[in-house]
Amino acid sequence: MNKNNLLFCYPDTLFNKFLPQALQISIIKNFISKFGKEISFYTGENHFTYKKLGLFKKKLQTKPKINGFVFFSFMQFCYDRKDNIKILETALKKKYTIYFAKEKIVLKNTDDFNKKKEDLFYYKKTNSEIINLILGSFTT
Amino acid sequence: MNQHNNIFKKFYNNGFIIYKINKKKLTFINKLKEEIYKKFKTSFAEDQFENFHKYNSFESINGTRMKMINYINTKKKLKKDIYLAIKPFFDSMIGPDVVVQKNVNLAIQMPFDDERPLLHKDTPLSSMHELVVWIPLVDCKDSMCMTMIPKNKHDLINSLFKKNDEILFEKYSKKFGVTKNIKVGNVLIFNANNFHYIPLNITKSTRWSLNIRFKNLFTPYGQRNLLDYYEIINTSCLTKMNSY
Repeated sequence: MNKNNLLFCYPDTLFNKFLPQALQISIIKNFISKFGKEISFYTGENHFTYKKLGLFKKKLQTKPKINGFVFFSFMQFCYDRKDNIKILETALKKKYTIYFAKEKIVLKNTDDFNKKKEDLFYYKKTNSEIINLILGSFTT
Repeated sequence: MNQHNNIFKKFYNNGFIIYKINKKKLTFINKLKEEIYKKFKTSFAEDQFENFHKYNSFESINGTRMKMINYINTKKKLKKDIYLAIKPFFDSMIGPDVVVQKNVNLAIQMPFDDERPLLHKDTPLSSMHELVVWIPLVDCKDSMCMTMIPKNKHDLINSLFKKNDEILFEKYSKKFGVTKNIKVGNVLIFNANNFHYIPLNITKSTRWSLNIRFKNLFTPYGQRNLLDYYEIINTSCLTKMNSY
């Protein structure tokens, strides 16, 4: 397997109740296949890490030899009170590509990020109802 | 100024308006048509858009349409061109903070093709605060046009849905609907909460139109949200200032 085609995958742990992980993975695989990418490994954030994306941050620090990361949804960056957008920017500066399957968004570099940052920022502000619903349904 | 106010009064009363695009902002339509024609040359058999039905079957039309939709959505400037063409209306109606549907739709209605949506409104899937822009790519007359139900007939139409009777839908659409001929260069703008109806095209021409939706970034959303369905197309200085 060519490492340039590999992505580390993060299904949305909080969304499992609405869309089981197997289906999330299926949607993710279908989306990234259009770019010739494959999942090298997947893991969901857990009850202790989902707010600040702790597992993703940790993985990023290990500088994995992959093309990038695929998330089921950008909503995974909206479960904390504070914005998690900065982590995205950090990953992109480290030359990783970021994919969001539900939103069909690909951020290849910081230019892409700059074009989309307003949308990302205002997503959380305009979707607080659904975000709170998902957070409220997640029993820890 | 009076004409300007008149447009908004009409829109407020009926829920829809026919808006004339400034000539200087019109070039995108012809350019798009040229590009579609060039890319799908064989489907046109060197004939006009209006005669498309002469060379294409009902069975093949949707496949061709989907390919065309994919193609027009590779045109990065198209949404911006549409937005700028209607900006004077948008500025007063929804303000400067605007989101747009991510994908532009293309509809091709060949004569006597019965594959069309019945009388309906786009809410609650869409937001009550959404504007639908319908852009004809050919001059549309009679049954090539969309039929709009004025706002004051909505309670009546709503009551029909409880009976779910298709014959009544047709009957009332014809009785209360407003169908206006629209030439290229004019667009139909309507509130997503307005009932509308696509009549069977019984003319001798194929109807070609684009449709796309706009709303204010901060007004309530329906079941479609930013990133999934919409993207920001314009923001005010203050909104930019307070962004990431």
